[in-house]
Amino acid sequence: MKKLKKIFILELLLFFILSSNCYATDQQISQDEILESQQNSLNISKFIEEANKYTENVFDDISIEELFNSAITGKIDNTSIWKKIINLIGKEIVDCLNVLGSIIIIIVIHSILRSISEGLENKSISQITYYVQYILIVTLIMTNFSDIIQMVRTSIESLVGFMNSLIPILITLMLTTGNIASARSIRTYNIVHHHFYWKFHNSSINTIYTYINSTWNCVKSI
Amino acid sequence: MDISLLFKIAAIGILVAVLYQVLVRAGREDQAMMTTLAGLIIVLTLVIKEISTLFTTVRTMFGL
Amino acid sequence: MEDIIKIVGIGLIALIIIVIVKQYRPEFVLYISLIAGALIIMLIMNKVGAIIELLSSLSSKTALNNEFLVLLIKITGIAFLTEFTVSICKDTGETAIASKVDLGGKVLIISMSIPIIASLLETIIKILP
Repeated sequence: MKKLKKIFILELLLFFILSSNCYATDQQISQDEILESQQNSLNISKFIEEANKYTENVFDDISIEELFNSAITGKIDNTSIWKKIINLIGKEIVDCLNVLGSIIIIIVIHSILRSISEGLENKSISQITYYVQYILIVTLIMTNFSDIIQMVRTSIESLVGFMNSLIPILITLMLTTGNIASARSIRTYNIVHHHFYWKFHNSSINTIYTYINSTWNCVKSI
Repeated sequence: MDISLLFKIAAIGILVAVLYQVLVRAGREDQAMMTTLAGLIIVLTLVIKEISTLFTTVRTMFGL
Repeated sequence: MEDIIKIVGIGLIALIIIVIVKQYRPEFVLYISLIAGALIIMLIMNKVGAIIELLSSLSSKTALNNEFLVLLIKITGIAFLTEFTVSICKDTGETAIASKVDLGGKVLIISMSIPIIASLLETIIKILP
């Protein structure tokens, strides 16, 4: 109880000493002046500049200043912001839908042409036109497919490189915090180390060894 | 390019057939052959005009 | 509605005339069938043009290259003309000429579709590492 009382009295003292005074005035100051004085005192303009730098590619038609002012005065227009966010997130889906639409239209064209050329009595000629249109459709689908494969390949490569550079740090951190068992269970570092960095380490160890030898010889000769 | 064209050719064909029969019965076989050939050539010119129209139309339509 | 009646009418009348004329002058049968075929096709040509315009307007909306669609339509036209001539030749009994025309049409179709196959091979080679 005594400790609690001490803490309580200390807190009250701090409260009364360290508080600042604030007064109310009769003057009519407009809202914009208040906003401007707040902005200047809190260095908000710098924040707005940096925000503009980051978002000028994405939010072209929204200025951060207007957003800020409208947020302070209480009138927020959320719909355009939501649209832009959903555009960002769903960009891939929108592209996919475009490609899907074009494929469907191409297939419709193909079916129309096929129905025109199916009516001919000669089976072989109708088959030839069918196969030519089929090859065209396959080509178009393959271009989209190759784009996707390219994207997947680059992402997997970057992922693998990222993991390669991250795992040694991860293992050392785990060792320092004491999880030796889980560090030992990631033996990929062994394999990676052995496979990729063996030559590098070999050469570096060789140079270090020769350096130590030369210094030792110098010391001995002295 | 009407249905009348068909009737024209049918009429020419029947006419040529009738003339051939008449001339053969009358004993002038060579004139009969010549009328047949003349009828064939007339119909040929008519048909070739129509076929050329058809082909140019198809060519412009399909862009060949 | 009247278009189909026109087409059916022309077909039936041509049939009747051919049956009549075949007994007297069998040479005229060829001309009559040619004319009937040409008339029917000319009746349809407007509609075919409208369909082709629809196809090209559809294809301009998508990412499909317009020249491929033009190529496809040309190939359809070649197939149609070849078929017309082959059936007429077979009707008169000249299957030899019919097969030659048929072969010529097929070769032309394949030679026109060479760019399409080339683009397919290019695309496949791009995927392979």
